[in-house]
Amino acid sequence: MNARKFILMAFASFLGTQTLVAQEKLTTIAAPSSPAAYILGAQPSSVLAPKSFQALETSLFSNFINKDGKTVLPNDFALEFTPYWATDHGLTLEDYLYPRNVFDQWWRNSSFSVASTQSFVLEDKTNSSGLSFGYRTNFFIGGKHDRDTIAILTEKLRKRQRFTAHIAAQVAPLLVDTSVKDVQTFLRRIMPVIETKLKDIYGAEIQGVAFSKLKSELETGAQLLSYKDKSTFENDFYNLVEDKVRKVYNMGVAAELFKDYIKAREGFSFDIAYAGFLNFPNNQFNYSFAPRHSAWLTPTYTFRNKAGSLKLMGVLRYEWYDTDYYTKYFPSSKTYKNNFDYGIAVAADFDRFALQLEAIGRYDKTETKVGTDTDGSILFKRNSSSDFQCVGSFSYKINKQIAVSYSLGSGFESIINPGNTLVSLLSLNLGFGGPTTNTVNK
Amino acid sequence: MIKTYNYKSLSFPVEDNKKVYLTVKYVSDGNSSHTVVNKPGHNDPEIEDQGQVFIDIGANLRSETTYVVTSLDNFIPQVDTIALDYYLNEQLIQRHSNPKSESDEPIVILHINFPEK
Repeated sequence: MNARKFILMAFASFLGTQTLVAQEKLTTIAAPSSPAAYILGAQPSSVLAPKSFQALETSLFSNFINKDGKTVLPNDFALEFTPYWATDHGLTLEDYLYPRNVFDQWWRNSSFSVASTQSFVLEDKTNSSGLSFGYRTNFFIGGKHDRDTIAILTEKLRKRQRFTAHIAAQVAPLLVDTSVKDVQTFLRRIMPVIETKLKDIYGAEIQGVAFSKLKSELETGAQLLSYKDKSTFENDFYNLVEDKVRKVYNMGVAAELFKDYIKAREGFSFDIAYAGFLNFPNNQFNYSFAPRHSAWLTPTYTFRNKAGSLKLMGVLRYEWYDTDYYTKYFPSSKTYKNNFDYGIAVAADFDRFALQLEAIGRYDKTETKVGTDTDGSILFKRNSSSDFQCVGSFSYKINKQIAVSYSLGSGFESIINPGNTLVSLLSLNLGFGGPTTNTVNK
Repeated sequence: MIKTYNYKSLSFPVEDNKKVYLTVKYVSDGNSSHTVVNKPGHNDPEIEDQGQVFIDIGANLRSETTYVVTSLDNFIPQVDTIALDYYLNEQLIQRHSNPKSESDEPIVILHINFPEK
């Protein structure tokens, strides 16, 4: 990309305009998180995600109704709503992890998105209004390994919860006991309970490990806590116990392990998504086109072990266009009626490095009416094209702030220089950390 | 980060021979918990997740405060606020609710006395 083009693009994005890059090629092997914003070509500053029906109503009313009570299309607007999670159901963690049936899973993961803009730029540079709708859901099928992993994590979590509840059930009366005046007395009363419960609950797992080490570390740590404010002491003490028990007995943090696992469970999942776009070229509500629709199907299989994760991903995207609309409002663009994008990728993610290999292709097709034959049958002319991209990327995390990555492969043919398809990109990512409490307060 | 939530001075008047049952019922989704009831005497009852348990008869609960302690985790991304209800003999005695931004692994402690009815 030359400097002039870069500056123009940066300026256009700064103005917050959406220019339809008709039939842009697929760049990621995943369904978009907000299909409506994606098809609009919008990059909203934020996507509203109301968590209740009241919040949804407020979001829609405050954005789509102006102060005169008239309906308007808001600019730079994006909203995603998942109806199932707008109400409480009292699901246990187990209910959450294992939906009862396919219908249950479908509805839990169904989300609806809407996006709008007043800055949709047509080829003649006029601004028009655009509105888009999207839908997305996800299905997951975990295998035996997923169930085994969850069973192990659940057992860890249960033990930790039992241990904590038993200790807290004995700490609570101690904290209101006027005879317990200092940390030493408190520790003298609670340490036997901790020892008993560790043996009862963790049993064989702690045999052979010196309880005296835990006792010593807890006593040292607890001495640093203030006993004057009981509620602060209570919170600090439980966190201290959790921390020391975990370190001395080399236990993972049960909740952290669970959190990490449910973000990417081992098994087969697939996303289904759809988005449709409405354009109002004259900014009149009664004159509109539905020029573009997209549908995605993205299957993924995730393997996990202690070293990291491996993902096999695929994507199928089908798009259909109203060519009459593009002929009228984007006369110089070459638009096919049907586009079919497909891709596969393998991504490995380990502690320090990540590797991804991906291949993405496209097939475009248009059939145009060219006349009739002598029998009166309609004759069509078929135009089609195809393109392919194959790229490998490797990244290495030098430390928490610095990562280096390199990509090599063959890209899609560019419009300006079709022969130049080599992708070779070395990048260094530097992170400078976020603001701290101190810097924010100053 | 663990954070404790204490509900002190709860009172449930009950007759001497009346059986007292505790019920834990989840309101928000994705909770996982263990509840221990530290009552006067031994054999403290426990509840895994949600459900009902027999505590004791009224006469046996007068001598000391009973502590109902729940160690709870909630780490599902769709939920912002943890909520659960505590019932004694089907009567709501306390609803606990806390934003997960405060703690997604709270310890809830009810301090309950059982005076004579």
